[in-house]
Amino acid sequence: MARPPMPVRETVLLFGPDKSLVGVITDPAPAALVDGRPAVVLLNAGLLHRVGPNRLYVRLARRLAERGLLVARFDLSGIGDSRAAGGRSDFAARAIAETRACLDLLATTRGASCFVVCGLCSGADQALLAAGEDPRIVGLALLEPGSAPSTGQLIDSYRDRLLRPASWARLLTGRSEAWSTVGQRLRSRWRRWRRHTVETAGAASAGTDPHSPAERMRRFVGRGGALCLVYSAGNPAHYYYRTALAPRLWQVPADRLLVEVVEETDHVFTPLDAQRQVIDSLCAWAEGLRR
Amino acid sequence: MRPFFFGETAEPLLGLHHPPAGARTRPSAVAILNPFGDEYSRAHRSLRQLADRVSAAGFHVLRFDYFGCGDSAGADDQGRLARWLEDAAAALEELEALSGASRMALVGLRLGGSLAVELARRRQGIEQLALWDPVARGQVYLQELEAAHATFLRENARRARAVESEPPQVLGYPLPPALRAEIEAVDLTGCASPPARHTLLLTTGSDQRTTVFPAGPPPGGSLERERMAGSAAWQRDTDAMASALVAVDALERITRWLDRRCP
Repeated sequence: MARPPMPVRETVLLFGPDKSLVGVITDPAPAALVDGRPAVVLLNAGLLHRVGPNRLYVRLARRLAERGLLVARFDLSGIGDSRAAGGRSDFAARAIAETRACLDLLATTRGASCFVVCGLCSGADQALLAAGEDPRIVGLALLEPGSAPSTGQLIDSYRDRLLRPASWARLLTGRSEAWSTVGQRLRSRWRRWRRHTVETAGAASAGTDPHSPAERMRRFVGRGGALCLVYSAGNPAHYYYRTALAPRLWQVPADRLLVEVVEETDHVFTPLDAQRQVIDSLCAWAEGLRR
Repeated sequence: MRPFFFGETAEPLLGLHHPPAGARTRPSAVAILNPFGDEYSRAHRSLRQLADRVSAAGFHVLRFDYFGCGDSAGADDQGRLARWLEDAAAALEELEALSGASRMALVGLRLGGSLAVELARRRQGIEQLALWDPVARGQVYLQELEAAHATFLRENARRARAVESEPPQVLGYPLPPALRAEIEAVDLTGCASPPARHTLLLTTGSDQRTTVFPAGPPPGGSLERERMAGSAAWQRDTDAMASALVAVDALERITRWLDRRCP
């Protein structure tokens, strides 16, 4: 039996200062539009284009719009279909400016005045940075956000894998990410030694570094922002949440903080059940937000 | 590059038009047919760059998303090969209208390659086919997909059986029985010669054993077979987030071939 037509309308467009960013706006049906809810902006997950891993962002945008929220998803410059930016500007600064351009677009064309910014992995990290620069961002939905690495996190992340034959097979055939992790840590140690840095990973992990994710999140909820954190159960970032974030966020009222842990999945929520859980949680959380 | 929606208003499809960027405009235009599922995500960057290169050589190029895929309308479990073939035909009509070209070349990757062959069989005016690792036998393709899915579960889910049952799925995408049956029926080995005057058959991935087009090119035409090991940007041997790998040598090969074979 044919499904009823989508009760949402989608528009694809070019925007930004030189009209080089590709975005899709998902408008709720007029009857579904609920005043007072923030608009939602989705940021690229790593280098995957605006449809997200396994088309997660498309499904999420349509579900949110069905529930009365305006949504935009777009490609940062150099990712997906957006043209690479010229010059040598810093990626993080450019991502903040381009996120702001998307917010401006929704403000100008749809009258949106407050926003939730959502992203997975690097998208979560950029959302957190953008929230520190733009007071119109009242909510952050961070899927698998980054963490400040620590020895405890490393041990925690490898504990389960030591019990899996597949992990040993990958290690012994050189396909394990452990090799690149070891390489990265050795290079990192070498750079720190060269620079005679005094900052330690432990300090960053504990959240005393003002640039750490923990401190950025603490400042965001401190100014009244609502936070939704979604982790896959095996991800090292979940350890960071338990050890560095939870102690700083325990005073946040329950209606402004949702922490969702998804079992039996990978970093990009590949199994369909995991995708469903992510979408259901985010929709329920976003529906509860008011200006 | 200009993004737009086309097709039926209730079920729009995403199109991305790359107009000719070079000094000359060719009388032929090029449509690119995407692969399916996880391979679609991994190949996106390569196919975007391919479109840039081909348009720089003077061609109008159109990329598009099938119904139920990418930015196009439709839920993930609504995709069907028969529908995607109709989508490809609609995309060619769009490309004709955008370019004014009457002669078309198709570039198809994986399942998109299989669709390109079927489209060229049914439609007049397709003179060049560039097939990049086309799915020659649907049964083999499904076996590969399901083996990759099983490996994924072993490596990522502690209780694999808990997530492998319902609904049927491969690597993050539903595989409803109707689509599975359509894919299973794909068989290019029954096609003695390519259904286009000129064909490039580029093999970069794992399925290098199946022989397609055993009778060679049609009279007066050409069939070039080339193997480029290690250029399969769509393959699942890297992290999903690191889909930045671009098969530059394969893109150059296809662009040079189109430049030579298309008017």
